[in-house]
Amino acid sequence: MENISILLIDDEVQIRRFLKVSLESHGLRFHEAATGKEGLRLFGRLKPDIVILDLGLPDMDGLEVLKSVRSFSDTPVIILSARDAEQSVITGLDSGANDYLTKPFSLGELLARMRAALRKKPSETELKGFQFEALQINFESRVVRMLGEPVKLTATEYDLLTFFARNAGKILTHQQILKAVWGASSVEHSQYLRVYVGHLRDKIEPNKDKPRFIITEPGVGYRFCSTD
Amino acid sequence: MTLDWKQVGSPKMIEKHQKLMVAIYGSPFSLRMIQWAKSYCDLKGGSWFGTYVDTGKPMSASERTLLERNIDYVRKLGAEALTTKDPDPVKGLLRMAKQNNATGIVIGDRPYSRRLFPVTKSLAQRLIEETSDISVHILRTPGDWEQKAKAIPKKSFSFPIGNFLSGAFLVFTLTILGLLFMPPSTYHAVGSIFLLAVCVSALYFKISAVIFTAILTGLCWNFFFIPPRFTWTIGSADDWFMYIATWVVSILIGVLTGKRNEGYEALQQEESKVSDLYRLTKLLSQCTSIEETVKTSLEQVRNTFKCETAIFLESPQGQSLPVTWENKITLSESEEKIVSLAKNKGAPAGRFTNISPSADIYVLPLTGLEGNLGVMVIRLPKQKLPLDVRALIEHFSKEIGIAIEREHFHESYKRANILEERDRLYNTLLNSVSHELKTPLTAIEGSATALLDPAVAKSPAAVRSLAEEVSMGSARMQSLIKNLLDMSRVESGTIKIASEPIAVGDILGVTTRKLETELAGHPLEVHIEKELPLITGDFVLIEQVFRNVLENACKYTPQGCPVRIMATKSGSLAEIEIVDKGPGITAEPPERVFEKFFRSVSTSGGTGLGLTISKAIAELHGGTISVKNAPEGGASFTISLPLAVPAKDA
Repeated sequence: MENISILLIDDEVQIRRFLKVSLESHGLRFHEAATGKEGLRLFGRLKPDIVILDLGLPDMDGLEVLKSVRSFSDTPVIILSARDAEQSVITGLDSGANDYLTKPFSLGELLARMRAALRKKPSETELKGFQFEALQINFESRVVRMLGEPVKLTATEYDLLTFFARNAGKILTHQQILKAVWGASSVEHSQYLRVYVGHLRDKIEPNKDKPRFIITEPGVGYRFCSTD
Repeated sequence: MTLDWKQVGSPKMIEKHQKLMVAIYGSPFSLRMIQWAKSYCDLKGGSWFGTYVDTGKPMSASERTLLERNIDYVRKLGAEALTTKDPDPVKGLLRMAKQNNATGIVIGDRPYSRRLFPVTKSLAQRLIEETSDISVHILRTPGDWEQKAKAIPKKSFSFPIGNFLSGAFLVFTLTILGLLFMPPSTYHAVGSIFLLAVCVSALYFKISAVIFTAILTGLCWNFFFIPPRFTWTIGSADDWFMYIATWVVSILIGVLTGKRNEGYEALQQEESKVSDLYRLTKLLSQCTSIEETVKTSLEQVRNTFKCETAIFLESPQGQSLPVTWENKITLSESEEKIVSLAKNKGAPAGRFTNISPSADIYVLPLTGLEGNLGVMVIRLPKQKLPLDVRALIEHFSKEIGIAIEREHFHESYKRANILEERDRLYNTLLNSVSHELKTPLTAIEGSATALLDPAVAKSPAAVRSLAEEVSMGSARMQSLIKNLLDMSRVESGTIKIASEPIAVGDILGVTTRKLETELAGHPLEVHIEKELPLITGDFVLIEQVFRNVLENACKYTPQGCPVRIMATKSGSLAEIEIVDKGPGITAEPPERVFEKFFRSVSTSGGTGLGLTISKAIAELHGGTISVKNAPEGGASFTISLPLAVPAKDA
């Protein structure tokens, strides 16, 4: 991940200090802004590869900054929030943020999220298959194997699994998943999602009670095959 | 005082403390007697009180007014004014003196030469004679004042015609019967029968009628029966003696029983007064709140005095408390003015007082030991209240005042207790928090400063280990702060629960992942019922509950101790049981673990809030959390949460 430039927009001095030290020692180019306005200005000028945005900014709403960035750029954005599963996190993710972190967070978590966010999202036609530990998916033949053994999935379960696989490592909100797999009109029916995730886990997780592939992020959504 | 004064009789012993009883009359001189008694006591030391003996004789209006004024005067001077009923004033005075342990009685007396009937004994003389151990202080009265109390009570003015006629009828019937059936020689027996008739009449007739009957029987007996019959003369000397003796006996019977009956009546009235008061105090002592006290007081006053009544209370700051009980009285504007006047002055107003004496209402202040509590208003029937009833009302108001004050004290005490308890909790919290924060801070400070040490920084292993310490310390602080915040949100009711359908298995999966480190030394078994329906609730909060309980299971059991989680459907609930094979719950009863700040003694760290918060969260979801010691040893926590009601076909 060398030679990547990061823009951190956060009003807290301690966070900016610790991230500057840690990220620069990983060989990353680090830029910081303490306010939303300053952040947007720097974003326009520097065009970083990835943005880390704190939602609790003093001068403007973090979500506003996010929307501004998204209005003209696809640059990956990771949002920082003070509390777990705040509504602002879900809104942020639905508005285009790639991932989130709750404060306090560890450097390892941040780096993993960043890697996942920077991974180029392959187009539909490019992705041939997916593999993570004992799980194998062949998109062309639509065959899923677990420890070499084929797994029988219903159509919906397969759609869900492939959506997960194409977004591996990324946080996916309930809304995003429902929209992608069931269609825009089903966004209220989160119980469908729970049930199907349960079925999928039954079929592909080696230990259903200790999920390894489909990780629940409480109150937010799911993350598939995280490398944290 | 320039009154002539004579003290007769010696007190029981030379008492340092005198207690004088002043006789109160409806006369202007009585006032001076009262003043004298007070001065005497002020000078010589001692206490005093006043007594009025109601002999049942009617009074003129001016007398009555004077009497009431004198009684009020006694009270104003700070002494008690007692009243009693007794046809004989001497007996009444003596009784009251003995009852109240008086050492002396103060009365007035006219100079000998002024008395109308020198032969009859004055009240003072009779008093002197009848008391041996109570001294009598006689104040010579000015000549123009007439001593009203005579030795023998006059016959009452009322004329019980009914009794007279019955008496006459009785006598004549007996006479006729005697003439018809008794042989002439049995006139002695007839005499006895007449005597019997007089006895019987004494039981039922007023004294005047009894005497009349006695006289009539004597005359009839003489005329119709004693030989020579049908004449007024009596033949033999023996018969004369018998006749006179029987006369005397019959009149005595009449008078004595009459007096005794009147005495009984008076006593009965006293007794009913006492039992009214007793009933009031008994009922008031059973009241457990101000509302109850006032309600009971109103009922008792209404029942005893048969009048409309109302009570208005004031708060300690002097504002009127809203009337929350039934005050069945409507006051006119002028009456309301009287009430507020009484309230402000803390003095009675209305009838019987000199503030608006013509009003229909009598307003009494209710006072306790510490001042005014409010007023009691009584709407009186049109006629005047007898003095003793008025005294009883005043007694009632005193009792009611005391009872209300008692309830005020009780409530203050309860409030003080609550405040004390709250302070205690705050202190515990503060101590707990500061201790809990200090421990990880110490680790962080120590490790961080060690990292700055160049000698330490040389060893990568040391650096790594110290950095881990810092990380763990901060994690601990984080969880503590979260606990505190959650607790305060729970307490203030601002916790918001999201409500979505969630799978128990999903939650447990997150929990086990979060507690990976803690579960390292504890083999975990998870059994979730197949097709366990979804529950409705807040994922984050319920996960917190499971994590709390599971974390405790790891913390309080030794390494290697297995933990088992079972989730099953039970009716409309999902039951999640977390059991360990550790030492179990030592608290008695086990539910104590849910109390704020409760910590098991063997633990190190933690605020004792985790389970309290878990219980609050479970209950906010409409569920429960319970604890018991598992039969095979170890602790077992059961969390019950309502299952999601299926909306439509999923």
